[in-house]
Amino acid sequence: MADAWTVSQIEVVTAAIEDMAGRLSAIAPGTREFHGQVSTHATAAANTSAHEAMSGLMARWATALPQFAEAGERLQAAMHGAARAYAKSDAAVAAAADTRERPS
Amino acid sequence: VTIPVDPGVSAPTGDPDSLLAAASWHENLSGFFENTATTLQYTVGSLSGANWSGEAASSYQDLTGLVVGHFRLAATTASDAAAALRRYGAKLAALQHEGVAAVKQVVHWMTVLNADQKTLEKAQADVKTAQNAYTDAQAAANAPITAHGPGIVAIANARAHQVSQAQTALQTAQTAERTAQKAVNDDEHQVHAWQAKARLIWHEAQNEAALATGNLEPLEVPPPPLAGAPVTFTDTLADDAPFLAANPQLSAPLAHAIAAANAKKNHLGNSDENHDVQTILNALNSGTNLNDVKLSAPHHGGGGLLNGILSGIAVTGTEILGGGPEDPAADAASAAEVAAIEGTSETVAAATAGADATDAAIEADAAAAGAEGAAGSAGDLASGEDPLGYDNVRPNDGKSALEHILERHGPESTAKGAGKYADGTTTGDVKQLVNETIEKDPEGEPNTPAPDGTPREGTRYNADLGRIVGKTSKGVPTSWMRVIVDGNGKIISAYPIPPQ
Repeated sequence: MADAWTVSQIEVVTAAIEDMAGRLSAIAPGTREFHGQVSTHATAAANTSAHEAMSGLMARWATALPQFAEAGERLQAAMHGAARAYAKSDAAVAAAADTRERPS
Repeated sequence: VTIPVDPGVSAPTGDPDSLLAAASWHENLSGFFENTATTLQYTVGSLSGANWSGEAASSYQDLTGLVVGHFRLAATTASDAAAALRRYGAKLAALQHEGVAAVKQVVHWMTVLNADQKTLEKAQADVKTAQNAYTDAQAAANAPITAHGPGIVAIANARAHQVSQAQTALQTAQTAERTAQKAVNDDEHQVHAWQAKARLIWHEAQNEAALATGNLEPLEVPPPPLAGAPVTFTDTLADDAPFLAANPQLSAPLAHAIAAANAKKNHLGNSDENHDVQTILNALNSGTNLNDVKLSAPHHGGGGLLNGILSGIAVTGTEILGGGPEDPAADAASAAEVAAIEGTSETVAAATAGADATDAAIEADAAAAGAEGAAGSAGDLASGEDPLGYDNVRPNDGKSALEHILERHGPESTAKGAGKYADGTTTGDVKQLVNETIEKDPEGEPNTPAPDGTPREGTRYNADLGRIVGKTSKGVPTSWMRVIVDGNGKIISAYPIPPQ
């Protein structure tokens, strides 16, 4: 019975969630890098009749990309938050298990 | 390049290289979004089922599903933009190349024309001179001859020779004039032809620009839902607040379940149990470690909250916070409340079943129905007019099964984590939906075992009724229904659920 508490499933999940959070960490910086290049391409159709459409599209990207970056951050933070919650639960379970197994 | 003459036309304007660079940028952006969506999908796929389940997992999966959809949509938008820009950039580059060549031809032939026009002017002047010379020669030839010197014949021959020479010179000049005129005519034709070609290229470039405009203007870039309502979607998982404290829908069931288990173990009354629930909630809200919280335990010397409780709870998974497709946490809370009232081992098991809140909900409802049956509503049970036992009274709250369903799952219900019927749904409608569900899924499936593995009687019927019947516990419109009946075939609950 004691072995069952040694490495709880919660602990495994915590590590897995943290791993996934790490995978999500590239979303925000990657998106922001693209956002930094928006203005460069806003005038790509200058001196053509497509200029307005092009600048309009880039304006829409300029608005949306930070929000995509925010979404990435939120997801990553959510994963970290979940991992912390599970770690907390894991610690609580482990502590309880220690108490339970302590000779009375 | 200095253009010596005005060609009257020009090559298409614009910077194809910039357009192609913008196309590449969009292609890279599309790839980035696709990779991001794949990564997000991977996290969902890796953290599901046995690996990670429960309310947090469900929230993350829902959240990710929404975000993935927007990333993929953005990838498609970027890809479409890239295609439009690459086409326009490539076309513009080719048309500019052709346009510049055409303009150069115009300039060339204008220059040639200018020279040939001067040649023509000179030829015309030469003709005029030759014409005058010829006229003079003829006039001289027709003048009277005065006989002296070499003789009349010689004079006449000389005059005739001059006329002939003048005529030859005139013919030569006229030939040169015609040649010059032809050259000018040819030059003008070339100028007009190349000007026309340049104009066609210009218009073709304009058409390409219009096509690009038509492709780019409609492209929308809807931001991910998180941007608009981050709190709504991330509260369950938010890291900027204590996890459970920020999620009363999770903390309340947990508190109820733990308090109920503690009450059962220590034979406590409702007052102590309710006090413990509040104590646990206070601890969760303040971020206090649960092990530092003391519960009502008159027969124990102390110990942490989980001490003594866990021994009676099988912690076999990670769904300690609740989970399930329909009504995980809130139904577990209901189960805990029922457990507190009835104090039966069955319902306490349900109350402590945060590990499987859906089962707990079924268990709790089943327990209530079972208790109702034990209360002796034999008349209702035997009634052919109410074969599903809608009017059977639940002993714990005095409500009928139908009242319970409407109270918890009706359109006006404010119960958290419960599927709700669509606005305007009447009791008759509910019964109709129940009948349709059972008709569509006549076999149903057995009720899942209790958390401790004890088999439970009864059946669950799940069916897609083909029309929106209400909303899931997440507030998503759904056409799916679930009906739960006990071992006697009496209805326990019925509510909209997510697609199965």
